Amino acid sequence: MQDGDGQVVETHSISAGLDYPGVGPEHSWYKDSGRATYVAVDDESALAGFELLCQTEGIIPALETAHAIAYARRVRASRPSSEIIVVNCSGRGDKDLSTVATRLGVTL
Amino acid sequence: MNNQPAHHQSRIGATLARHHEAGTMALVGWQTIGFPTVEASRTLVPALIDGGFDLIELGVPFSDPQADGTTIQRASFEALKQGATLSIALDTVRTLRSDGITAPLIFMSYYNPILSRGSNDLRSTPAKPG
Repeated sequence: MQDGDGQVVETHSISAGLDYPGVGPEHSWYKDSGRATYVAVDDESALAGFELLCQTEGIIPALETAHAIAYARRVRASRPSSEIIVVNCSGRGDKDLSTVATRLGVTL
Repeated sequence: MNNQPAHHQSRIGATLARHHEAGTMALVGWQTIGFPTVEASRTLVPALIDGGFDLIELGVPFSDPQADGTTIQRASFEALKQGATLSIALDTVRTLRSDGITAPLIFMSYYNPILSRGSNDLRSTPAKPG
């Protein structure tokens, strides 16, 4: 992510792993070749996705993963109920508990 | 220096040759374009030359100057806040030349500001990787 002068711009994400202005060549290729579609999920949706997986499955996802959970819920409504959606749980969320607690106003 | 136009190479070469023949050392100064202000370079570069610097490196500020130490990093950050750009750096050199500065002026830039212009063909611009 850069401005017109080639200066790298500031990024933001509640998750450290996504708070980065660069993207690797593999994802770039998947996007350019049409093999994959890339979407955006905001902080609030990611937090809701975090809570959803914790409450329904007892699995604490990484905040990065929670973005995918949130998108799965977003897209589920427009898909046939018989369809299976596979979500890659890319990481666990022990590392993110204090961040989530702070954002949700919970004292651990 | 292999891809420098002949007259620029001779300007640097002539300065270094002059010192070599005299047995003295050339002094290279640094000015971050845009620090403390964009206009400051017009007076600071001549001041450096009056003070005895033989060649001046002109730093093009970059958002992520990871190859520089903290001093130049801080100067770069302030220069970006002042609105300095690679285009302004090129204009600064044109202004200095028209002001009568003949000392060698050498750009130092990270690659991305140059790459984003879509051209690698900038005069007297050795690009720093990164």
